[in-house]
Amino acid sequence: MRKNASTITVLLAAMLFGGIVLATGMGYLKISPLEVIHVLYSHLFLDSPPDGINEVFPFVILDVRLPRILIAVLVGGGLAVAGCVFQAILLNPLADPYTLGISSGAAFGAAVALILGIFGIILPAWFSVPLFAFLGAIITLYVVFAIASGDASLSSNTLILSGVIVSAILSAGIGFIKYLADEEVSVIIFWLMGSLVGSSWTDIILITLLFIPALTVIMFFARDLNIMSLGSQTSDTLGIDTPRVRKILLMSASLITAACVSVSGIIGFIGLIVPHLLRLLVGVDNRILLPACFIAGAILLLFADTITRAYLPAELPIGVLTSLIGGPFFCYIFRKKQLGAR
Amino acid sequence: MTSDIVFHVENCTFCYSNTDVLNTISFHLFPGKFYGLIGPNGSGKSTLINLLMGTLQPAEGKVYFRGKLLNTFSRRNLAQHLALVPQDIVIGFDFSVYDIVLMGRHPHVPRFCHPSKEDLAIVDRTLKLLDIEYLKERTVTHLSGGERQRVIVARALAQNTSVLMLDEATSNLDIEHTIEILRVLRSRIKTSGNTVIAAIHDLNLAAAFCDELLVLHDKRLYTIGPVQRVLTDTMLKEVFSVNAKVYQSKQHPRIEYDLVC
Repeated sequence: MRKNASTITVLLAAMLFGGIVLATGMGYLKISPLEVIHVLYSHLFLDSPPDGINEVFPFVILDVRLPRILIAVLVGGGLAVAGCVFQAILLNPLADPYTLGISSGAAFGAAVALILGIFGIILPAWFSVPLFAFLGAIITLYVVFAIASGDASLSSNTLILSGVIVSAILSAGIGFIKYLADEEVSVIIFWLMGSLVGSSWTDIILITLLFIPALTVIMFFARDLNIMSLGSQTSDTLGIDTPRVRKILLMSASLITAACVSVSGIIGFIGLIVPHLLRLLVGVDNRILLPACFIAGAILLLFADTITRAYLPAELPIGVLTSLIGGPFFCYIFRKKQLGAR
Repeated sequence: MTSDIVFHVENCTFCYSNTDVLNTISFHLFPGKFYGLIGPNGSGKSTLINLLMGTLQPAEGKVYFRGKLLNTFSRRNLAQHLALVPQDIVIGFDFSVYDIVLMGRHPHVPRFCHPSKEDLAIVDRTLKLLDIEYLKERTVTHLSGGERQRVIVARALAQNTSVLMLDEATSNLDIEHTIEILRVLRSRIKTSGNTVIAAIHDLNLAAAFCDELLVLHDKRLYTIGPVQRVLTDTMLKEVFSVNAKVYQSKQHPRIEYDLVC
């Protein structure tokens, strides 16, 4: 472990906290950071509305901005951790939650939920979209594993290949649903491109309930994950029941991905780019890398979301923005790494 | 069966999707010996090592380790007794040499605990033993093939097991470092009564360092026995299809190949 890794992680955590406070103040209605802290403090500890502050502020902060900001934090952090786990398990620094087809599964589920309305089955969207997305992700995970299970050791190639096969089929399915949806297609597309609009405290509770067990399991196996990132033969001979631990970790990371996708749609590149950057900053030891990824992913998505929410004249789907920032940046580090390796 | 036997392999057969790789193999291995595993390419040396490590299960037959069926041990328990230096080592992430060697202590360190002073001392001692202290802070991705190989040998030694297996672990090394590693292994056998099982391609080296040889040929165990007895002109002709002359010297046999082109 690098000596300064913990310091960097603490600094990142401080940045995240500062970022949350600043972002809460930004938007159509400007609120100063001190006022934000005042409102939060009196809401949490005083039980009475704060004095001397515009009466609208508590409502704007607590019911409008904070849910969306916290969702950005959780989704960003979750996607980064999931990406980090997938990369270590699949021994592939270019893997991310999408390589296994999980996000396509979630997207397909969501598209099904949206299309049901057209066939007259009216379900409340706030409930059916996350639920179907989640089911889609879990079913996809199951199918991917079923296809890969011919290979008893669950090798990374087999898993990635079956992920690719399943996502190809699912993409066709989504295409078909878009065709069926006709006029409703814009709703699906906006969701497929990712959006944090309309995040609620219910979403936060849902995602937190799924995150706590999954993240605990992942941290529990963090040291095993270090060794597994050297290949299954090594981890087998160093005392790890590799197929079992790999399965547990993949399930946990997929659960996190599914939870993220079900509240925010598809947001790309966070899971790919954050673990990469953080490996350069804090090193490859997953015991420190995983928490650092969570914090950094949270900062990145919060930053991107604040730009689309507070600064851009029209709201851009957040997934488009992260890909626009992330894609070129990823090319840059990828090239740099290639040149450095020579 | 005495419990003195380290490995007892009984009628083991192994196949990769219907193709036999090993066919009804049986033998015993005793502690405190250096076993050389020899045979032509594709004769199943790696497979046999994997069977002994418990990372592959035989299709038929049984492998006993110290009188107990190998597959009744937990992975962690096995890793406290058996260490492996694998054939190809791909490390995709930038771990430091020190971290990699410290991973050898993984089976001995309880979960959520930091490695003890003893663990760290073992790692330092092993780095010194293999002369790779100067690489300590370097990242493994930036090492040469030979340096990386020595790091992996160090990791296996740091595991501090009574049995050590090497799957052609010296194939990437120059002769100086090959001999250095084989010497370290020999002295381990002498001082701690370890058992070493090494797949080796260079038969002269095998003859010089091993006590006994296991010869694999045509999916079967051709023979097992002391170097002097196993290493013969006939064996080289039948197993390796080469014409060679084996000279029995005082210390160990020496092979001279007939290289007429």
